[in-house]
Amino acid sequence: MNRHLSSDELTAWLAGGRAPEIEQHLRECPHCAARFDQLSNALSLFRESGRLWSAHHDPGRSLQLRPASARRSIGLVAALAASFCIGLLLLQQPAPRPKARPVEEPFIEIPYVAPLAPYERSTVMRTTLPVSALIAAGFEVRVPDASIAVPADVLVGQDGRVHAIRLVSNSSFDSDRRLNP
Amino acid sequence: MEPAAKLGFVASAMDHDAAAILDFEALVRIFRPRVFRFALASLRDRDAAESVTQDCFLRAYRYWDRFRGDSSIQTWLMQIAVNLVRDVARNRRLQFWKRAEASGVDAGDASDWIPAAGLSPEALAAARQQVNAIWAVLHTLSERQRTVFLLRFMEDMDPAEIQAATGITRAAVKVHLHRAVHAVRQKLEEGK
Repeated sequence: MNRHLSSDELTAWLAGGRAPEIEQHLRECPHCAARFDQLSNALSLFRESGRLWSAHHDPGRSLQLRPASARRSIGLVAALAASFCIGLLLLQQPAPRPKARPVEEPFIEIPYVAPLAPYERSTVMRTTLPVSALIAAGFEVRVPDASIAVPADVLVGQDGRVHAIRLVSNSSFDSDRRLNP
Repeated sequence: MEPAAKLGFVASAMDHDAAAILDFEALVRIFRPRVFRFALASLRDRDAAESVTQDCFLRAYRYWDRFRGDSSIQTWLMQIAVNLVRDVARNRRLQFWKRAEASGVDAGDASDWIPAAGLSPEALAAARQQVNAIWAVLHTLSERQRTVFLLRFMEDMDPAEIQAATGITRAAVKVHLHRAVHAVRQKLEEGK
């Protein structure tokens, strides 16, 4: 293609029409690639800010979010207050004895789900999962009966998708917490 | 059939999201943000969006035995939400009252929520302008164009999922999406 992309071609590409010649052109033409990136970035910002905006207005959420500017100042005040309280406690109390902590397995990411963005809020929910579903998701779980359900924590992103799973230790089954690539 | 039992069955059969859910309450917790977000972005009214969200899950619970697993649970819920939003938008009485509705939200506020990390003040201002422009264009689109645009670019649904959620043909999805993106692109390029 010896010309720049037309507006219609760019629109079609943004709308998801994947023509190989346009893909090749975008790889080779910095001008058109820059145009596409700019529009694509604007749509990403629209999506990301829209999700936070909606979460802020959602009456079903327990935590009220605040805009980025407000979050920064509140975070600073909270950090200062927390530092002050911790300092007071350290001065007044002897060093605590180390407590035995329960062993927790790491979360295993589900490979075909987009990873959480750094600023994205997530929720850990404890539930029970059918072993057959875990096996379908790529876990290797060794249990005598694949029809049972096992306790697990699931990491749910703001978009409602499950991003990772952590099996809860349970002596009644033996699992190899590994996802197939 | 009880939702919990059916979810377990679906989970083992096809849907990894469903695998994480064994009771209806968990389903609400997981999918509620998405349904509410779509309703809020479409209606720009917090109370109406909350009402649509509650109705959506009420209907899902009531008609749970009609869910055949042809689509994911998420798509099925969005299909219910799309219909409810359409009903609300077409309700003239609500449209009338909406003008005086205290729970209306300004979509322009969404630009306050742009992740600012790493952006210079100039870049942040430009980003806000772009996001505001997109919301302004959304306001001018037809109901179907707006729905398809939101499902594609806010909810990351692919054309097949949008087709299932809206009940319009694949070709119509493509046309509505093309027109919506065209309007957005024009507005963004005008603002440069």
